Amino acid sequence: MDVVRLVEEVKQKCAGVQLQNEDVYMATTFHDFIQMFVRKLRGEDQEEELVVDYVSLTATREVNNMMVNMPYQCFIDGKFEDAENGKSYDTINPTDGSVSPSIYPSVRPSIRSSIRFIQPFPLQVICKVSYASVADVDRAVAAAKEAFDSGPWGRMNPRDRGSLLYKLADLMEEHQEELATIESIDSGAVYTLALKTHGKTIPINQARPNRNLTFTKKEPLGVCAIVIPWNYPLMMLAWKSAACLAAGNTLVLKPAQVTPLTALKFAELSVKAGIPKGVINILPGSGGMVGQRLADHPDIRKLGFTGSTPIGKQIMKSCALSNLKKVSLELGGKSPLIIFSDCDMDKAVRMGMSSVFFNKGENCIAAGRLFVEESIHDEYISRVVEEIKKMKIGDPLDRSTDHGPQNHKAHLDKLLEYCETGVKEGATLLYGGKQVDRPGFFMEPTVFTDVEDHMFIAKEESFGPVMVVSKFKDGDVDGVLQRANDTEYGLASGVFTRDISKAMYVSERLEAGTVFVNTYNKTDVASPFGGFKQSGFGKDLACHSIEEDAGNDRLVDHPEELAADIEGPQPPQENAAMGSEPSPNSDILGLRGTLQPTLLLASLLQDLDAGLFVPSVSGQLEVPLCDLSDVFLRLRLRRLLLF
Amino acid sequence: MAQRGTTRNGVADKIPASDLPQPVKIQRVRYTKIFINNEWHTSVSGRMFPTLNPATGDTICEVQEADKEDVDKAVAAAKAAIQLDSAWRKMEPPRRGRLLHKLADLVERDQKLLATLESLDTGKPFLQAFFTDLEGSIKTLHYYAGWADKIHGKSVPVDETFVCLTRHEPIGICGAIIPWNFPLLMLMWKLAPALSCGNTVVIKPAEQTPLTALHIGSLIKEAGFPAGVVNIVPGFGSTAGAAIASHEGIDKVAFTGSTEVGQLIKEAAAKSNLKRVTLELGGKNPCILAVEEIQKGAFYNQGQCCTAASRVFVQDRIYEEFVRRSIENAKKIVIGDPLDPQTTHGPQIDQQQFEKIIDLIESGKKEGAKLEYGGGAVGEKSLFIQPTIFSEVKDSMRIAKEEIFGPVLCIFSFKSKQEVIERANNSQYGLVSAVFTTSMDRALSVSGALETGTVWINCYNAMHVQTPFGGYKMSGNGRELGEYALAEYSEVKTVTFKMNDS
Repeated sequence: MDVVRLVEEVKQKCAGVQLQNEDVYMATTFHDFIQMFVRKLRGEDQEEELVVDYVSLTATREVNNMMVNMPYQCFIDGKFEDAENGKSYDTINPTDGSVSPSIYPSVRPSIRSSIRFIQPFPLQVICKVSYASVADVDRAVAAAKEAFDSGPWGRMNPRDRGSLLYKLADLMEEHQEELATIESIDSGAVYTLALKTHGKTIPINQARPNRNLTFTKKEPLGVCAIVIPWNYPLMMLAWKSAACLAAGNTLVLKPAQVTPLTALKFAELSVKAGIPKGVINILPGSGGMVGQRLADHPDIRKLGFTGSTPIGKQIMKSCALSNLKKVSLELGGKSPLIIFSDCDMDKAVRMGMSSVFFNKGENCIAAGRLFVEESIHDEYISRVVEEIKKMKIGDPLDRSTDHGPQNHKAHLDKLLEYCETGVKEGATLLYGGKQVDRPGFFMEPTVFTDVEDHMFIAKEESFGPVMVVSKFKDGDVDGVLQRANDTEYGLASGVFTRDISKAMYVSERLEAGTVFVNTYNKTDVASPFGGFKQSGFGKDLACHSIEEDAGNDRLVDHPEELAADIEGPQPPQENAAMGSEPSPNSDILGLRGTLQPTLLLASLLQDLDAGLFVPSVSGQLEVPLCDLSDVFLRLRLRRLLLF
Repeated sequence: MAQRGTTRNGVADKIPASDLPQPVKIQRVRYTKIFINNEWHTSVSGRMFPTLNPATGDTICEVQEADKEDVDKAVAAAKAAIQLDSAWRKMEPPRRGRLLHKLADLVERDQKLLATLESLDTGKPFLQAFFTDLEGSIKTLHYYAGWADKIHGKSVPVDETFVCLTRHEPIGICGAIIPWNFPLLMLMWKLAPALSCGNTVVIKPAEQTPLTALHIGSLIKEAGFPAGVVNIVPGFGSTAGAAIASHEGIDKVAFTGSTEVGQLIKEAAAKSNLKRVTLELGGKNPCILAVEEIQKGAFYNQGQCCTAASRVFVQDRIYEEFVRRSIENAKKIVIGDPLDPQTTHGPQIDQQQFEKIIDLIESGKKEGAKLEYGGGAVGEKSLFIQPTIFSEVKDSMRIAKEEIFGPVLCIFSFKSKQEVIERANNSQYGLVSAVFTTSMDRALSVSGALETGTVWINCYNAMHVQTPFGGYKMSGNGRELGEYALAEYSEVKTVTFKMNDS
């Protein structure tokens, strides 16, 4: 009775305060109750507010003077923290080496954030970022597991989960300038996906029908590891984590070592959106350490990877040996593009070029081989060369630029070697093949013709702006199909023809996860994406690029480290790219408009600004339903026996 | 925490009184005209009709009365809006979804106002309008907003030289005829999937309750839907409603209401242009066993639910206790001003319904059912009816067969499972049913045997936007809600390519 009276009195005197049952029951003595109550009155019952240690930058240079606040620490269990061993590394803007730095430190007093002054780093360094260690991975996984098993996330109904994601999408939209993303808009589509993971009821055949009931229910897997590639980091991040979260999983995400900043900003927004702590954990660091530990970790139930085929194999092996975790891989490609004489020539030239040169060729679906029908071969090639001569090579931040620098020096060197091999084996180097005579890692757009099937450049992915062209005899559809399919890869492919019948015939027979007909790079719709053969498995979402394992370090501009890493059996292709759905096109648009101010993304993505080759843009992306069911959910069969 | 917004009453009392939403004071109703092409029109005939507050009998306002000519105008607008080159038709599906999300946000912004209008116009308690009708509407909009870009066709393997695809396309112009018991929610059940699939719509709200629908017209415009996509024509069933059902330019009609009118609509649809029809009609819903939940089933929304649990079958050994406790619970019902948060029971919708219910109650008394509680009007000259409980009801009585659509609980007794299934299924209706039991075997076997579109096990009125809803037999045609409703608002087109032998 005393309690009732107390409660009534509280109600009467302090009408504005809200108490939950557990507030009262958990405060078992009067003293506790009063303490709790006073805290409530002061508004101190909220969870500790997120304290973010920001690095603040102002971008100049043709961009409005915009202030960017970037978290730079590991994000674990709802908190930004230094790596356990206190290590950090420089993240670098790989723009043209000789241009004066476009970034300088500045101060912006803001509440609850302490500002770090950036000391005059060597050119191009954006800031220092925490370098996560194995111990950090273990802590992050433990936090994600705790959040999945006993946090509010696991108990939350799908609608509320969806609402949080929707809110997160809105926040990303609000911070679009800072995040430089259009994915934020699109991740809104995920909102209701949470409600649409339908299971089935299944009539089963037994001696006594109707006496058994079987139904399936889709359930989240648990802790998922996602590793994001460097070539489309933010897009991959929004897309993958949104679907993963919509399904109810918790995640530990490793951004590519070179592009950690947007991921950390995303973490900050997730807290503002109210996503419970531990659900999202972000660990910047190397593939060899963080990525490997994720693949080995016994508490992770699924790992998604985007990258090279050899590393994909290593990851899959680690996943198998550790705890048979589910794995989805989106790996390399040597995608064939067949151009028939009855094509729309203008379009074939334009799209054929973008299929190779888009994003400087650093695109996992880039057309690795072009097969051109003999009767139009010469005309096609001369038109392509003509167009290449018009391309403007230069500063990616300049909107009129068509072609930017390669991602890093080692990659450029490898591309030059790739071209030399081509020449040595007897292919005709018709255009390019050299480094551009200017500072920075610029590679000339390159065209090889007379490429024969046995040559190295006919088989291996360049991951650079190298067009590899072979002829095929007029009318020899089945012959060219056989040559196009003679590869261990099967990611994408394309065909140009006006004959719908031929288009259908060829698209049915090409062994690839995607066939583009009279277009290329058009992956923006809600269509699934993934590879045949050794290009990976698990449609969609699969993709996380860990350049992991051996890989990540070499992506950074540390020539010394690179040398060490490249020793391994590295394929010419770097990181695979372009996870899936998200369209390069939409990417371009988004980045052009908003990326530059942030510079953090610019460090990697500026070169996307190659608008010339952009096919029509819809700018929408979306998570297909099938992804969820296939990748981030497991089916649980339940059988109930009656009578 | 109970799910907010599912159609369960009693949700409100779990929220502290100080937090309860309050009705808005409405001086003047702003939107009373016909909504066509994102503009407000007066009726061609110049006629208007009054809409009444059933709690007081007072006129709330006069509304423009749409008739055939106005429907023609609306159809012309809807037709222009769905031409192949129209903004709506060319709009990317995700953008359609964004507009629906926006509309949901606007409804949420105006939630109190809309709940007040709904309460005034229907007589349902304000809090029920706020938590059930409005929350349900918002959820429905968000849910179908998400579907807009996920409506997939298939590719179908056929003979070798063919490639075959299916495309799910909008049907075209969808007519919607809305009932008066849940005016806004029923509107959303039709509007949201129709727009999600890319159709344009012509909506006729019930003549008793046009106000919330018209307010939605203003929000449609504010959200940024292109002109003509949504058109709202307040008017009467026999004129505007009939014009929609028999219109040559309308491709589909969706109706929620009585079985009698449903038959007329299907007939008109067949005679005019064979338009597609979805019907969600009456029910005489059996509810087997159990105690307290039933009352919510039978009396919710003054019994004016197509899902009302109007036949409650109670096993003989708990029969007496059930009747006794039902009466106890009925006594707790608070009858009063719908805008008062304490009220749980409001007036019936209009005089006609009131008289029909009283007539059926009288027939029950005459035919020998035992009146346990209530059984008449509250006071004189009002539309309030007491919650009424009959026991010892026989299957042959009128109250056992006809849909009462009022706060009347009829209690039957039964002995065996076999018997009760037969009796429960012995009805021209087949909308919903419920079983209350702790035995899993019984729950599953009875749910398999009941001939209704929905079976609730140990719950009642548990509606979710994700699950389909509709009737067997004469309770309807097609399904609303869930993924299934998308099929009711799209045509499937098969595209077959022939390949040359190459």
